[in-house]
Parts: sequence; C-alpha cells; structure tokens
Amino acid sequence: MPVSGLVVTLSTDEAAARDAVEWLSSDERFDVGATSADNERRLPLTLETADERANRACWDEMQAHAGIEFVDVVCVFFA
Amino acid sequence: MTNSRRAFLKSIAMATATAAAQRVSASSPAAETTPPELAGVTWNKAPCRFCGTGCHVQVGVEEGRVVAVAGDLKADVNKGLLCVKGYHVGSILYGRDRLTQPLLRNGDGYEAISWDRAIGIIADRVEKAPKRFAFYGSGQWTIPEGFAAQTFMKAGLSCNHIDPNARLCMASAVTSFIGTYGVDEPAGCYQDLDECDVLICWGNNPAEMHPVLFSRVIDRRTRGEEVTLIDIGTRRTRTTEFAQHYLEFAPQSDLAIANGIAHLLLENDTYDKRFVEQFCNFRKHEDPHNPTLKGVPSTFDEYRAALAEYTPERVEEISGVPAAKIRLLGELFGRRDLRITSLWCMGFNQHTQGTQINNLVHGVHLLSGHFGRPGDAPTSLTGQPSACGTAREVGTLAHALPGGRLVASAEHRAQCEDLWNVERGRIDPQPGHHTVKMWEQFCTPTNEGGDIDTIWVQVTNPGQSLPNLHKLFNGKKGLEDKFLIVSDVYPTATTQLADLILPSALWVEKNGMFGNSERRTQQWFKMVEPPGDARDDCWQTIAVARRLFDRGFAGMRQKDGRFLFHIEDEGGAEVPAWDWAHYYDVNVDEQLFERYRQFTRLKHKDLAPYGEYVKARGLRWPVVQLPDGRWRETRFRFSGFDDPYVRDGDDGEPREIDFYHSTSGDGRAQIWFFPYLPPPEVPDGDYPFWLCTGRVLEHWHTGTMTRRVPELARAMPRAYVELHRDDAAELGVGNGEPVRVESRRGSVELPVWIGGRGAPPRGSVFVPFFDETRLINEVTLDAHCPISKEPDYKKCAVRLLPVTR
Repeated sequence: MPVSGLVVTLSTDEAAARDAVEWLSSDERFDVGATSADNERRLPLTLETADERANRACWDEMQAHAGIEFVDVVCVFFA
Repeated sequence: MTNSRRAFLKSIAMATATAAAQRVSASSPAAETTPPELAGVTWNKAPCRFCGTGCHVQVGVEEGRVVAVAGDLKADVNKGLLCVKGYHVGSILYGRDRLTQPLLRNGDGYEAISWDRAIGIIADRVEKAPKRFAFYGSGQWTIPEGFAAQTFMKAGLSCNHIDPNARLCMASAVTSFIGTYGVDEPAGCYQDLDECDVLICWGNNPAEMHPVLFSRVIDRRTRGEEVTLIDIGTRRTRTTEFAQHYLEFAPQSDLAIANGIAHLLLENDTYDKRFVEQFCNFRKHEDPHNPTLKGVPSTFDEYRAALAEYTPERVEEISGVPAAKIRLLGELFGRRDLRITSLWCMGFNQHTQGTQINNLVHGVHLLSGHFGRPGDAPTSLTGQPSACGTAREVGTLAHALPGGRLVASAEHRAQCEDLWNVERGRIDPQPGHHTVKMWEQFCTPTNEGGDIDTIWVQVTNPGQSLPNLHKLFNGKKGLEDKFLIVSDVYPTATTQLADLILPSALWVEKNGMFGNSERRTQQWFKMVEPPGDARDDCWQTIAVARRLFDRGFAGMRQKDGRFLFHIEDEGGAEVPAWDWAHYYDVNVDEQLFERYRQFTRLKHKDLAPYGEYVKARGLRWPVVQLPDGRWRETRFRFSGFDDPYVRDGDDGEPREIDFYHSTSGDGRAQIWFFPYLPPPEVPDGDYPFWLCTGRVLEHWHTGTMTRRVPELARAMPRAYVELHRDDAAELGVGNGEPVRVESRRGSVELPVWIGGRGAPPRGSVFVPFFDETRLINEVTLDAHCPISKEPDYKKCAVRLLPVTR
C-alpha cells in the first residue's frame, strides 16, 4: 500500500482552488497539510492507496481537477 | 503494513512534502550558506560534468575521494539546484572498470604497456603519415585540452583533420548563427528564461534534457507568474505535460511551421517594421537543393513572395498542425507586449536542413522584433558541457581556427600563426574532413581511397554515437593498416574497436575549464587523483608532441626553436610538462588558457584572465576590463544597453542593436528564406514507421558514465522502443515484449514501452541511445545538413518485427 508525499499547486481561480481543497480534505485517501504564509497555493499532502496503479491513477485524477494546476510527487514509500 | 509503520511513513511523507512546498515557495534567494559542514570533508567548486546547462556543484572530498556533491548556492546558473544526474555526478569516478593502464591490442586481446611505449607508438603513426592522421575530439574536452589538440594538429602537424563530436550535436546551430549574425553563439543568456512571457520549445524536451533550466520557468509559474509554454514536437514528452499548447508536427515540417509564422507576420502586418528596416537584411539560396553558408542577397519583396504559399492551411497540409495553431503562433509573435523565447536543441540541429531551420526561427524573431530585450530571444541550447567553450570557441573543427577564424582565410591563418609563433604557411588552408567524412575515410581501405590511417579519439564514444554504424565498423575487412587510438575512462563501444587504449583522468581528477550554453566560461581545480596510471588527456597530447619534437619533427617547434607547448615556471625556466612527474609542477591549464585567450578578441569573444574564473562561478563573454580594474561580463550581446562592443550611433549613444559582425558589413542581421523540403528518407510500405532517437533524464549521451552510477542505472536500466498503443495492438505486442527495430541499414532488438513518459503518435517510434548493449545507431541514417555536415538522428524509416522465441 504505497504512501506518497505530494505538493499540489492550486489554481489562481479561488473558487476552483477552494473546491479542490474541499475534495482533498474530504477524501479519505488524503491527509492534507498546511500551506505557508508566503505561498498559499502550494499545499502539501499525503496519499495512501491500495496499490501503485491506484496511486498513479489518483495523481492523474488530481491533475485533471480544475482547481489543481500541478501535482509534484515528492516521495513515494512502497510497503 | 502495520498501523504503526503506516503512520510512520505518512508522517515522513507529510514532513517531506511540507518542506518541499515551503522551500520552493520561497520568493527570496536562499541564504548564502556554505555546503554542509562534515568533519574531514573539504569542499570546492566545479561545473557539473554532464550537460551544456553548466550547473555548478560543490564537491566534497574526504581522504582523497569524492564523498559528497551539493548544488552550489552561489551559482547563477542553478542557484543550488541540481538534476538527478547532477546529484550523482561524483559517483561517475568510481565505476568498477575504470581504465588504469595503456593497453595495446594483441590478437583478440590487449596487453598492458608503458606510457612511454604508448607515446612512442602514437608518434610513430604521426611520423609515418602526418597528413593521414586525424584527431577526433569532443564537446566534453576541457578548453585547455581542446586548445592543446588544436595546437597539435593545426599548428603542429599542419593538418586540419580535427573535428569534434560536437559536429553531431551543434554544428547546425553554429552555421546558422554565423549565417544570420556573422558570429557564433547565442546573443542572450539564461536570464531570458526568467523574463519571457512565452516559452516555445521547438522539437526539444527540456523537462528531461535541461531540467534545471526548465525548472527556472516552471518555478516562476508556481509563484504565480503567467508564463505560456508552447511545446512544438513530434511526440509528447514530459515537457508537454507542462505546456498550455502542444503542436504535433510531421517530421521535417518545422520548416513549414516557421515559414507559416513569418507568412502571418507579413499578412497581418504585425511584423516589426522598424526593427527590420533598421537592423535586418534578407537572404536566400539560388538553389535550395545546393544551399551555401552565405547564400545571396534578397529583398523584402522577394521574401514576401516566397512566403506567399505558406498559408496556415498549406502549413497544416504539410505539418499536420491545425491552421488555428499556426495562427496562434503568428498572433503571439505579432504582439509587442509579450516577450518570447524560443528554445531548441537537437530537434533542430540533427536535421538534414539543420542550418535552415535554425535560420528560419532566428528570422521569425528578427522579423517580429522579438530580439535583444531580456526574454526576447532565439536560444539554441547545447547538450555537452563545453561544446561552446571548446569545440565552437577554440574552433576544434576541420574548417576552423580559434576565436571564430577559418582555415580558408589567409588573414586568419596569419593571425593564428603569429599567435602560435610559427612561421607563415604553417597552417594548411584546406579544410579537413568533417566527422562523418573522417570516419568514412578511416573505414575505407587505403587501396580504395581511404585517406585517413590513424584516428586519435579523446573524450568521446563514436563507436556508439556515430550514425549508420554498420557502414563504418563491425568486422570490416581491408582495414588492417588502420590504427585507432582511444583515450577514455571506461571501456566503451569505441575501445572495443581500438588498437591502443589510453586511460584518462575524469572531471575533478584534473584541472579544467568548460564553456556552457550561455557563453559562460567556468573553471575548476583538480581535487582527487585519477586511478591507477590514468593521466590527463592534455598531458597525453603534449607528451606525443614532445616525442615528435625530440625526434626532430619540425612542426613541433615554434619559430624561435622552442617547443610548441613551451611551459615555464615563475622564473621563466622551462617546465618539462611532457614528463608526467612534472605536469602539475605548474598550472598547465592556466598557461594554455592565457595563450588561447589571445585568440579570442577578433570576434569579440573576449575572455578574462584565468584568475578571474577561479574566483567566479563562471563569466559570460565578452568579458571586458573596467577602468577600476574589475572584469565585467556581458549578458546580452548586440544590445546597446549591455554589450560593450555595440558601436555608438549618430547621437553618440550606443545603438539599440548592433550586429557588429554582420556578414553584409552594415551592422545588420540576415533574415533567410528557405522552402520546405522533405527529408531524404520517409516511411513507406516496407519501412512504415518514423524513428526518432534521443536521450532520457537519467542517462547522459552514450551512458558510459551514468550507466555506472547504480542509482541512475536502476532508475533506467535499458533502452526501449516507445510505441503508440494502437500500433502495438496491430503488431500484437504488449508492454515489455521484444521487437526488432529494423531499417535499411541495420536492426536492433528492444523491449516495447507503451504508455511511458513519452507518447509518440501512430506511425512513429522513439528509442534512446544511451544503452551500449542496444546500439540504435546501427539503424540510423547518416544523411546530414549540406552546410553544417551534422547528421539527422531524428528521422529515418524503420519497421518493427515482433520477436518470437
């Protein structure tokens, strides 16, 4: 069950960005971290999925969200 | 996974992600902290050994061994960041199979011999037939190494058969810079990436190939800046993933796309009339099928008429790029409120019309006035760390002399003869063989007219990197009188062909200087000893020169009888630098560099004294001395606000733009027209796929260094063939299954990769060339640009045959 550390860059469209944060916060696959004061568009989070394919599919799902501009994969731990 | 382990990993992942988010989001430069303090480790600067970006690293040495590498925070190029290869650059010194002794072929094997004997063998080959001796060098040569080889051949042997592997990577860029501006190398610098509003990647993949430079642009976007990225390519890559617009074009039709943009600039009347009228001329070829470097003058009306057929619809027919996308490009270039940087590399240069496509995109920038301001730049990148600094600037090309000079020019030969202190007439006026010709002649039996007997290869791997390898190597008969000398650090596809193998020092095992893609010359000191009896390539050249001098070979003497490579100590006494025991008694690099520096002023490529580069993380030429004694580099050439050589206008102020090496002698650049011409080989019924070759992030060029770094080798262990999913289904092959990629020239077996990091369109495949166990260059075509002589590795016709066992 891989665990990945991600940083998403939120859209400059505030409504879309809020929507993205709500989704990420409510989806049990994610643990959402805190942004920093000097750049609230960069959001750290962790993702845990059943397998590597689901992990990758989730990255694609995130990238496709209108409120998310980029998904950076910082680390991946494979159990 | 237990709950406690899961929680532990999640906490680590969150901490790492948070640290990454906060570090990248910092809007102020990182504090000027030194590398980590590690007990027993000393740190020194060096440019990275790999690509033409020229990132600076801090190298940590402990007990005579490189133990750590850190990005150099003080470096303007990379500001402390490195790519995955750069972080592992220290490991390249420690592969298990470093060459450590000279080896002479003996039957099917090799015997270890002494350096003294090896040097004598080379001297024998030179003396036997100096005009049939060739030197094949490299854009990975340090500047002093290249200057030594250049001196040896052109001033010493009076032989111009010296050419670098850079002929295979940037020769087309060179001929185009000269044909457009009258002098080589980009006008701008990496600052253009920090200032542009639009970045257009033409047939290149900087996300993988120049990742640190690419990150400069992407980081701007993550900080909220609006930067439009347009990827114009023949297949989707990692760069495409960041692009707002992707334009997929049929191979070779980049020529039509460039003409389409120019057409629209004229049709829409959005070209920069003032810029064109003040700073540009027009040129064309009398016969496009026989183009020349200088062409013939043309007029604006002829140019407009020639572009008439390149309507967006016509360009769509040729290229497959929708007309609307061509109009998008035309509209962008027609805007004065945007700054546009075009970035290209091998997609343009390794092209049978490489000079022309370079010319056309320079022309688009000139026509639209997107030139000369930070962020407005046509920018050619290089792949090798010193293709600019050594091959181009030292002029280690068959037709060139140092400092932008030509062997064919009597004036240039005279200048170089004076600087080398040799008699008039020493330099041969006849250009030597370019790379493809050199190797063809070497691989042709003497009784069939092959006029090269001996090639000395330094710091490169032609046995893997030359195109159409079967034509050259692989058990050819009748070549028994030929002799191949290879100086390298590891066994390679080329050492397998060699008659004499010489072990060389690598990177920080020697002093060195490189020149990167933005005209930045960089220096480093030796930090560790090479293994065994490996020695500097520069020493090897000087040692052979001295053997010839001692045997009375006239070419190795200066006019006053001194050794051609006279090196002296502070008291003026000669240092026997040809004796390895004394090579580091003085700084030979410094003395050669100071000698070379005198050559650089003709074309205003002025270099500072060696000591300035010791202090700096590189300086961009021309570097000029200010009245207060400081040395000032130049970021933007030809622009009056920055280039010290821009002449004054009538008002006594520097001109806005001055192309002071203009081929038309009037301070103007040349806007070229060239029509779309199809490539020499296209897919057909027998060979229905396009083959494109290139690199991957993890490996650098032929992989001789990176494949010996365990982390990089594990990340990308072997070459593959990228294939479209539907093509794979039709062939009946799945991911990882083997196919033979076959052309009219050869074939290689490769595993298929579907859905990988690159996505070629239907009818097209991609293969990286880093894997010496799968030589894709047995398949590639050796057709080349008629002006630059650079081969086209990006397009030939192949078929794929499933392998059944």
